[in-house]
Amino acid sequence: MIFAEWKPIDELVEKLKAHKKVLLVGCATCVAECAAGGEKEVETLAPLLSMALKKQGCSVEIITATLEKQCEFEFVEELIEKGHDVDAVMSLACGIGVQAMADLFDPIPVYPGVNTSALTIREEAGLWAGRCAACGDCVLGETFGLCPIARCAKSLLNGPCGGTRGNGKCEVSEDTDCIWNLIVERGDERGQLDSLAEVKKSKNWSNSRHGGPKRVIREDLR
Amino acid sequence: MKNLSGSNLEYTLASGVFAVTAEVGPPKGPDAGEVKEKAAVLKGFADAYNVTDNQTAVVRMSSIAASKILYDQGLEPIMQIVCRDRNRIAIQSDLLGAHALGLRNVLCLSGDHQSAGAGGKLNGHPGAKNVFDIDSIQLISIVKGLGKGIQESGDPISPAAPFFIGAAWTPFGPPEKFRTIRLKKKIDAGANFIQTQAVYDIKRFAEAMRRAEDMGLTEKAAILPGIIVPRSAGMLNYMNANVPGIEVPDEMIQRMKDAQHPKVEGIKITLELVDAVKNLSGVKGVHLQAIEAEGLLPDIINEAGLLPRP
Amino acid sequence: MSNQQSTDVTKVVVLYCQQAISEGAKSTDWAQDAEGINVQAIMLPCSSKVEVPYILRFLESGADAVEIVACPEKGCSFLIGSRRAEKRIEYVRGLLESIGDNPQRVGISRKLSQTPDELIAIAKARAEAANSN
Repeated sequence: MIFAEWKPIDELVEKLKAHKKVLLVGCATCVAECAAGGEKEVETLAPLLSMALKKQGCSVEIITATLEKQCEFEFVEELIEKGHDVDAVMSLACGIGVQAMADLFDPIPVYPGVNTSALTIREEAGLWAGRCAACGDCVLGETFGLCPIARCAKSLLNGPCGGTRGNGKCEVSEDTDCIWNLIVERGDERGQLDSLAEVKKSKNWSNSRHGGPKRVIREDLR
Repeated sequence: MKNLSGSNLEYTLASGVFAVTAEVGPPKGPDAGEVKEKAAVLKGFADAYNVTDNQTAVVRMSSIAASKILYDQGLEPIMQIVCRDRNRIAIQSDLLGAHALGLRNVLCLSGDHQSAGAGGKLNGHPGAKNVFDIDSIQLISIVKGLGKGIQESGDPISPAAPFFIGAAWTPFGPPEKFRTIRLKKKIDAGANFIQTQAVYDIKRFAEAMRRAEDMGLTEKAAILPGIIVPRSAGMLNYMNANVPGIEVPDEMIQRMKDAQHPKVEGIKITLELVDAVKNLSGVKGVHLQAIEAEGLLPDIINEAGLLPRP
Repeated sequence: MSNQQSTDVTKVVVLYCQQAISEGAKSTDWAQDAEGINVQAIMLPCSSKVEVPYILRFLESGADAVEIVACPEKGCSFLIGSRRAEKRIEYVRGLLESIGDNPQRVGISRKLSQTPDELIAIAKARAEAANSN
């Protein structure tokens, strides 16, 4: 799922201070799964923001809604009526949802309430970890299903750097596995360590953001 | 080994002399004088001098500029390049520039992550965007390619820019069974010499060397084990616990603890380590470091019987 | 907010688990006997039913303090219900701190067979903590 987390409350208050009526909008897909922008978080943030704004002497009315999907215009359009008299929108969706809202509510300002930061899996209750970097050139078939782009701090393609800690964790954080340590272990268990001995050439990053903004047309679907 | 690059280190190793390399860390400011001072202390005591590239992700004078300063002082630099800060375009451009300036040795590294910031002793730049367009092994391939007159993309250059190519080896880092394979990959990609993470456990290092030798790697590249002069039991403890890939035997830490004069004991240990690695099959030299105490190295190199340098 | 209240009466919402109280506290009448505070008592089948948004809504709409009365860790009929409630209180405290508010405006008590007197004492203690900042 797309992972996001709340921006600092101070930053949100700063954005909303000058407004009179704000629509706070959640999304019931990814950001709900990662407990940042679903209905529960919208209904938590709304009273919290009200209290914080009141403390600063600002009287801002906050109305709320949570869409099934904020990244599709069909769903976003449902909000036009509800939001007809607001002077600002705050979205708790990922950057995609925020932009869909911004397109539809233009010229009313749409502020992001969260920072979108990763593509994650929920490893266990309350624990999310990055799994994909949308690099545009998947190597999972060569690394036994463990991604060295998203899960290695240096996106190394030819094995672990010298920073692997004695306990197999990454130099960047004691809580993060060195993914190359895991790739090698899995390869070894399968008796396929040799497949990692070949030098992997420099990667072509051009099918990701590095190649410019993504734009894909599928004629069969148009 | 044929001397293709014009590197003195390459020549020394090719002629069978036990090589000595040392390290000169560039300053955090723009003062060339600081580099020259370190150069004056170490000149004549090693065959080549590693010039670090913003190590521990702290901004320092560029490796290429500090290397050129050393070069002008008559010391042969080993310009280090990390993959953290530059993409393949910038790195190749700098390599061509370095070659034009007369620099011939390059050490290819992944580089400490930008969150390192001198182990928390300085602010550093943890908010920096890292690059890692290529990894250290791909970097070796690229340097090798320039030596053949081909850029990474396949575009030709003329004349070619041959370098004597170095790489690092951390024999004790997990996953240990892969570390020799990774060394082989570096050598397959084009590494001519290898400097290792600091070695204190000779028994274990000897085993690692045997594995490398069994794979035929010591024939293809010159391996120079790293030795960092121990200064105190605390320092050894710290490295043992915190520096990935460094393993210090308990007896050595105890020995430093028991020593009346730990600094003298540290020099003794260094000399014993140099002696021990010299006798290991496949070892072609030694990479000596005295962190923030470069002044110790001339005496150590002298007492180790490694003078005069060719 | 407590410091902006014109009256001296502190409004406390007590959300209590029906499993955590004595027979005498089964009706919410005890709340009327509280002196010096205004208690709104709400009985729940389990303290885990208290979600973060409810707690914040009470605080936003005029309550000075919110107390959850829950079963002790090992006495919870739903095994981890009361532990969940405790984690939510910790979370709300963090949120209150993030807006510069007094985290002691919310709290949790965990004990079985609470009597009406004990419930009033708990509400009073929470009111005091809420007013202390």
